[in-house]
Amino acid sequence: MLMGIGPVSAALSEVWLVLSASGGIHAATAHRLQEIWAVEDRPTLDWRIGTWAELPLLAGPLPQLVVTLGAAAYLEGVELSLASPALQRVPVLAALLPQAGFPAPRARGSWRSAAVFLDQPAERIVQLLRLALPEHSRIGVLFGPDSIAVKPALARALAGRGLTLAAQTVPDGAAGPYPALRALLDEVDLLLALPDKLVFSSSNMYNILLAAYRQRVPVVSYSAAHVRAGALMSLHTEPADVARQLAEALRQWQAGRGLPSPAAAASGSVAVNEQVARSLGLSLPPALELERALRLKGGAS
Amino acid sequence: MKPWLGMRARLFLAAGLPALLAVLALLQGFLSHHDRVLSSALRDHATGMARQVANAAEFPLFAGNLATLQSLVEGGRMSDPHVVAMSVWTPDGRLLVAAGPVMETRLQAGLEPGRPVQTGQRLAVLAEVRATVLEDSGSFDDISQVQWADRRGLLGYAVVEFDLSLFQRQRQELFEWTLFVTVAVLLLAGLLSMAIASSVTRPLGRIATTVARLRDGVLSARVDLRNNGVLSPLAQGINAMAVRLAENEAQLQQRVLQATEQLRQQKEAAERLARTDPLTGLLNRRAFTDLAEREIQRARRFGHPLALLAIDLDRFKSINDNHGHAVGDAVLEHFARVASAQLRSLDVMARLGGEEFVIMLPGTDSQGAFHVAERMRQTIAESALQLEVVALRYSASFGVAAFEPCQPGLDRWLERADAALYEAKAKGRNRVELAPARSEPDRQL
Repeated sequence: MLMGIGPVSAALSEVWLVLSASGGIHAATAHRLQEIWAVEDRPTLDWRIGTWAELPLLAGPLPQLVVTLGAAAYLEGVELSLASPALQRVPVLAALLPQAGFPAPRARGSWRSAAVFLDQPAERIVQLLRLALPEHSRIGVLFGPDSIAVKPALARALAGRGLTLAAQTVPDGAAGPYPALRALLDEVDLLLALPDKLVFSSSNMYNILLAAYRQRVPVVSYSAAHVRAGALMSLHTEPADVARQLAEALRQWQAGRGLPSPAAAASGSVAVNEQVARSLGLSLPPALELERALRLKGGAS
Repeated sequence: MKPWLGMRARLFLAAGLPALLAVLALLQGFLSHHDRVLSSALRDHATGMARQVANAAEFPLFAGNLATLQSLVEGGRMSDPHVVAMSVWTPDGRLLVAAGPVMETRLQAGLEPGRPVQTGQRLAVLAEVRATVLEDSGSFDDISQVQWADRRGLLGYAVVEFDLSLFQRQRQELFEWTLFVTVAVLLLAGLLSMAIASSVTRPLGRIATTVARLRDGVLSARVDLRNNGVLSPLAQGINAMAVRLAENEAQLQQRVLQATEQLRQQKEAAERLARTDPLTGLLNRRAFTDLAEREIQRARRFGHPLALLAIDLDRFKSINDNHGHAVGDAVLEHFARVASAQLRSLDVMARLGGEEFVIMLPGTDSQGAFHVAERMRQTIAESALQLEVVALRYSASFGVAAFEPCQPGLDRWLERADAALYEAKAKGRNRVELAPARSEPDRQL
């Protein structure tokens, strides 16, 4: 499905890159996007980068496209669009946000929104598991309110590769993920962490890693930070991955084909904690090799 | 000789020396015990801390999380001022992270898990970091039910190094503080002891001085009864004793005086008896002889005249026979009284025995003596002794002899007087006869 209408004139299009916060991963993604755009020698865009407060929302003319980086920037934009009919007419591309953080169509009003999610597709995750840990067949997942929607797709993908899903659900309002985790760790070869702010909150994560370590269960996560903290491996979305996907969407929009539908990350990066692998007696291919293999398979699929 | 330690010092030493020795022994015991306890506690603390770090380092070491390990060792080092260095090592002895100056860049050969090794001012302790796994997953809510098992997976080592100089400084400070407190307490106790000792020794000194004065004979010496404290009864006793002593002394002196006076009187009485005729109260022969010898010496020296009367009562035997001895004695007494009344105070009259009397008249020549004898003879002859019914009359015969310086002595002089007396008796009694001068017959011859 195509969304919105791209600029028909050859005039210089103005694009706002709205950051949730100055600096950090948001600024890094914005700069990476500009670099990719510049290297590929496309028709120049007039970039304006900043938070909503820093951009001339009321003073000057509005841009042809708004790209929000981060969930907060997008949600703030939704609020602003409700009060500004002019802004409502500007299409928006939301990036650097989890799929669970993207509001339902009713909640985002009549703002024409496209999105590039941080979430890695279930298929790619399963591919990585088969590539890196072919011996581990019982995959444990702790689902929470944010991630439960992924369950059918994940189950299908796992089944398709001959793997078994052992699922536990942490209901909304539960005291903690530990009873479910305890039940899960007893029966799985591997714990797969999916983005869910209830289950894998920063306060829970260390204890979950510790509990899995005690049971000698490797953890595969969606965050490189978790790998540094003690997870075995991650399939995560780097700013470069997002920037590449955004550049592709912008190219499509500039060509007048409109913005793409909200989609999961088109590519992923792999991080491996070799120390953990050594400690667990596992032998994994290097991360770069895994990434390359994933890209090839992605391309093939 | 004065003793080399005063009473106060002795009392002080008697009370203070055992206390001082006890305090020093306690101090020594306390310090060595504290040292042992401190040393043991330090080693336990070091071992415990290394164990704690090892436990905390387990998961970061497993995860290869050097940042967490770094913050762990730095936090651990900051948490204890005695820790100078904290480090985590790989099983093959490679340094992973360190906080503080690690003394050895390689693990020391002598370092064994749980056994602290002291090198100079440092105490190093090593703990193994081993992978522990949950064997039987227990409840997350009840950690006590969790069973842990060691699968012998050595992940690395945690080494904690303690700086002992701080402990030694603390030990030194404790020693100095204890010493200061002990000395202060001992000084205070010493001052109190001296004050208490003074309350005993000062009165004792006063009492000793008083006793010394009493010993030297000053019986009026008394102890000042003020401010004697517990020694008040002793001071009062000493004073009472001194009073008794003075009274006894006075009584003794009084008795000695009385006894001396009695002795003198007895002696005088005895002497008087020895020289006196008990019946008449006149001198006896012996006393007369002494006096006469003295008068003879004096007459010879100064050339004074000296005369002697020899007297015998006439027919005294018949008075005794007729009237009894009592009357005889009364006659003798009467005669002595009447004759004495005729004499001067310097004249000497004595009874030689029986009815024989002599009278020596100093400064009197033969004629004067003759007149005295004649007057005395007449008085006797005219007087009468009044008996119960009658008056008894009696007479006496007198022989008078003047002393002659050429005469050999008293005996010869008495013989001459006696010769004159016999002559008076022979011529009829109741008369006076004058003995002839010796020179006269010589001249007559």
